[in-house]
Amino acid sequence: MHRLYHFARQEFRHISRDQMLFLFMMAPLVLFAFVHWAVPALEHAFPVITGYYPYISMFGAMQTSIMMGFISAFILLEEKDEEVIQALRILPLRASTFLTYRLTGATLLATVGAWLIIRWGGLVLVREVPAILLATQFGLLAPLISLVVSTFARNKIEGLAYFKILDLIILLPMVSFFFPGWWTWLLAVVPVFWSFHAYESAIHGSHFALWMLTGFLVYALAMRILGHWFRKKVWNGL
Amino acid sequence: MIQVSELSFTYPQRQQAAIADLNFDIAAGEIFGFLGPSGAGKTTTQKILFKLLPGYQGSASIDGIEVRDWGIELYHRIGVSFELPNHYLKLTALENLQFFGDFYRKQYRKPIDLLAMVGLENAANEKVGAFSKGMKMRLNFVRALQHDPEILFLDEPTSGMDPANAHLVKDLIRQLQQEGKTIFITTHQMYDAQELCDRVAFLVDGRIRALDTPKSLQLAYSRKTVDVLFKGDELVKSYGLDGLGQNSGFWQDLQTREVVTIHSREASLDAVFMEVTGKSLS
Repeated sequence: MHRLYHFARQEFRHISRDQMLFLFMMAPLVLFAFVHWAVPALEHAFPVITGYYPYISMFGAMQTSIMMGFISAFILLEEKDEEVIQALRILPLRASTFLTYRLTGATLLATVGAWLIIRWGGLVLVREVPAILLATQFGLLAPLISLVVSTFARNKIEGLAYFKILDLIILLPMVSFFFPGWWTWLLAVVPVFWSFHAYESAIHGSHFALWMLTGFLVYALAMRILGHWFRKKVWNGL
Repeated sequence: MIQVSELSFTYPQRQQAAIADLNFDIAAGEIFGFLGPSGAGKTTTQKILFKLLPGYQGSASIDGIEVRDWGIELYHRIGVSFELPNHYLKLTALENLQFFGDFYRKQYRKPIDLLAMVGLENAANEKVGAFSKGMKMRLNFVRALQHDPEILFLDEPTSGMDPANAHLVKDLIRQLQQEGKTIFITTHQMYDAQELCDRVAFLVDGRIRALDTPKSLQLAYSRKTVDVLFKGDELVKSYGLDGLGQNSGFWQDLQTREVVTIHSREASLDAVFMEVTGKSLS
């Protein structure tokens, strides 16, 4: 716990001294405000949007997690750019331990942000336990984003480009709700596909546990693969 | 303390070995130097020893344990000062030291005292991003000491420093040796090697070309003469050092003529390096 606090304090200092990261840090609150107040206010002008409430809520939870993942990715990219990674590698610290500490803060914040939107956003009603499970799964998107960007982007500029592309890719599985068909299973390789469908089943009450469980397995697999790549390409520098 | 035998390493996707068949050992409490131009393989050798480069051939061991067999415990025993500064630029010097220091069991000195050792105490609360390269290098240096390691790897420890701070760091290195630490320096600064090292190895194109004490190397490659400039002469007159005491011509000149300068011809380490390797250090 002490070490976790140590990392969290260092990350907070880092974020508070970087204007862009500080703005990103505010994203969960801005998204919550958008979902909770702005969307219902727009309903009077555009009544049609009520049919899209579940998807707006899903989008909010997803976007919160992406933002937190991006902050963590940017800190990792800075460690890469400034070669701090080398100094970290000669600490009595394993790559997996370092990653756990570095990604925990982003995951927790993403989970809390997603929970706020899912449980208290007010657009759709999701019960307490499913809301926590859904928020936890959406929260896992943050370390995935962080690992993809920090492993494959060579610097912060590339990191921004990756962020934009990933934002679009992660949104793709939502298409499966509007254009259903067998082909939508192709989108199942994107972990958030399972979170979206678990969310929908939590609202409509069918196969929630199955979607959720499969989702956690897909996230775990993705995390393992990306963790391996991070270790190989960034930590070991090969 | 450190033993290296037939050590070779080739970077992935490269044909040529970065280092080949290196053999040397470093005794406890010794300051050992690798002297060579950029790209000679100095940093590669150090990186193997602190386990940043796996997949080497031959043997490299610390305290009798092969480097590849060491776990993270190794990092409690060694301290590393990298060739280039690598710090969190948005954190202050003090915050940087506190962050890294928290991972260790032991503490050499308090972070603020470490900064004072290298004259950075007044910049303790400044962001490292605003530091000059020399300041960042001094921070690199004290970060390597903070957990009181037994072995120090210093890669170009005075790089980017002004002469006063380079002198300060060299004094600290000598002090650390007095405290019993084993120090492995890489440098292309001939004077640093000459002043600090008990033994130096000349490294060129990944191979050791000579290894001895700086004094022995200088003597081995010196011209064994005494050069005397007498008043009224334009050229120095040379006398062989062998049998100088019995050289009547030398003594007669000394007694009858006025000496302006008199020197033995010791080669500089730089000159020895060039003679041995055929390359310059820069």
